[in-house]
Amino acid sequence: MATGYLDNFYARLGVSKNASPQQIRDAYHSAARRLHPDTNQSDEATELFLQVQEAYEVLSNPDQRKAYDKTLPDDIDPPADVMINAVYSRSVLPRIDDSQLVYVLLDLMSAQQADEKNNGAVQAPLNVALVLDTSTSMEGPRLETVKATAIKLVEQLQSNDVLSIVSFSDRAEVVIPATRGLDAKKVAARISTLNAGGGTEMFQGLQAGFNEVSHGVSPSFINRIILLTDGRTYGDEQKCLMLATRAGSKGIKISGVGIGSEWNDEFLDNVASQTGGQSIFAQDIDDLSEIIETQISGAQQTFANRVTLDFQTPDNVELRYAFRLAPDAGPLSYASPMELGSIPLQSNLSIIMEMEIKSIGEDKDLLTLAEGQLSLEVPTRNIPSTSARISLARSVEDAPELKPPPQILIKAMSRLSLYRMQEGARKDVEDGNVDKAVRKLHNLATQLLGAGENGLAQTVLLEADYLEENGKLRKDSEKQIKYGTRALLLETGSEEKST
Amino acid sequence: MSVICPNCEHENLDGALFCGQCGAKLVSGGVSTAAVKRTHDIDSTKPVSAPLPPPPPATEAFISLHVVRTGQILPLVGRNEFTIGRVSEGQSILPDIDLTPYEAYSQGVSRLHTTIKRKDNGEIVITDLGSSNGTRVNNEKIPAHTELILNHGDVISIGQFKLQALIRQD
Repeated sequence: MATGYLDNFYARLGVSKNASPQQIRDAYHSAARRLHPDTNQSDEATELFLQVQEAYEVLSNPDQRKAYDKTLPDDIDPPADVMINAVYSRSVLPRIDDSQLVYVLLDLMSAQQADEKNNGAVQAPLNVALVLDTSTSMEGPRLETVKATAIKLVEQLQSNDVLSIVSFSDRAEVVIPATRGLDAKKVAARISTLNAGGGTEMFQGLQAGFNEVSHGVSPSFINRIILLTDGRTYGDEQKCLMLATRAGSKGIKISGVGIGSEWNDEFLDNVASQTGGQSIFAQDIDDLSEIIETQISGAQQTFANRVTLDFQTPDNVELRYAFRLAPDAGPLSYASPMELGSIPLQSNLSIIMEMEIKSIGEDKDLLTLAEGQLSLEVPTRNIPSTSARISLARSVEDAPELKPPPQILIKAMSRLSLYRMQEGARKDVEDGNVDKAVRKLHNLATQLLGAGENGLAQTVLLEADYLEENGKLRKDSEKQIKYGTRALLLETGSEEKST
Repeated sequence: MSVICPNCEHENLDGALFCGQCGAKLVSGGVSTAAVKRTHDIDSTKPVSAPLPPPPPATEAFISLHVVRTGQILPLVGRNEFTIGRVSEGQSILPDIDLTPYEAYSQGVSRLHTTIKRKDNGEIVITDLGSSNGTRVNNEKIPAHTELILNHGDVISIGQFKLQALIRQD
């Protein structure tokens, strides 16, 4: 947990900036109960306890609170129930004419996290459409494994959950319409009739899945489309992306699982990022069942859904890169509104943003990097949608003494930079700069060796050799490298949580 | 006010934390991510017509170093000469192989301790750079600034830090 960096007193208590004294008192008592050294002896809890106490001492005193509010430059005002924490790579921005980069790590978590750990978490029901590619290439073990996985999924569901299953090739077929409390045997009987044949027209499948989920779509459900495919779709990409945007705006998250090496990972990433979802690589068909299980259990552990950042940046600031580090790793679409994904019940939603500041005006002592609305839905609370103003800003000084960036940011960026080198190498190949790509892969391998990732480093080195000889990357290796470096990101995330 | 990567000389925007070209860390503090660093990598930002350093003869490592304590293997790729040492603050010349992650300081590793080089005739030689605690090969202290031929399987002690040379047999 990113608990060491709660630099906002309101965020420490998980209350809004305009919370009443009573709300502050209640929040303090609740936090103190679960964090008091008598009941919770972890070092982290003790540190948090001290932080919460410090925050309460200030906020419970009207004069001190007023003085403290003045020090907050319209900072973050978290919606009730959610704690938001921002860590910046620079605490102060130097006033320079040239461009500079600032990184912001945003952590969102349930304010009741610890409570729910004790009381048993309340789970919202799922509303899931499974969209299965049954094109010719799926024939044989792939389709059989997909069928078995779908049947296993039914067993994992709770009685309140809604499931639908759609198959598609050139056209889509609703195999199981959206139904609550499905019987595994009946599903098995229906699924066993599926045969492989035809092309991969993804839009057909996604649309049918979208329709099924839409029947039951409601803020009190966790709405998901899980797409399983082994191929590329041609000609309907734009339609797929538009559908994904609609799904995102309705709170339906799309995740795409790619089987084998022929599927288009960049396209699935684009589709998924419109909705806060992710693409996943099933390198080996035997991994599929575990991937789907993780997807479903992840969905079941959702605290808040449809976390959306509707933001604007001033003319001299550009959002150059945005990536979700936890609970799952995946690129975010930079355009506003940005779908961030979901906040899990017992851990963080963590995103990192890279912003370029073109030049800072002479007259400014405070630079707003981005501001807007952060909105989310908490399915179990039956709150339609809560939102809060969010403003990311830093003060500007002429020649400040720059402190090293927080450790947590360096750690996250060290892994993200590996992922981005892989992205860069692929882009270089696309642009015809094979030599440049080869060098980047060599550098990536060197860094991976330094990080102790010898297996992945070896894959990268072999691919660099292949690229040098053949002028292109292999589809399976490029995916292995991409999802291999992406998996490293997740490891840092979970390490953080366990320490 | 851009940041020039000390490792590959790639120009990064001010405020960048890691080099966009080679992935080296550009800020102090935090965990070290790179065990192997290069100081003279080919700069990809320069146009191809500019005079380039000689291209690396092979992409495969001519020698790998086996970290005896951890079992990790560090292949030396891309050049013919590597400096081994540790990075400390305010240092202008950085070693290619930074042993900081292996508690180099407490093991008595100097900032620039030893070089390993492949000569034109294919011989691989090691040279102690006048380090405080010296370099040993198979437990024999080697004189400073003098080349000594390395053989496959030799154990190199840099201070107390032990590396085994794994030399590719062509």
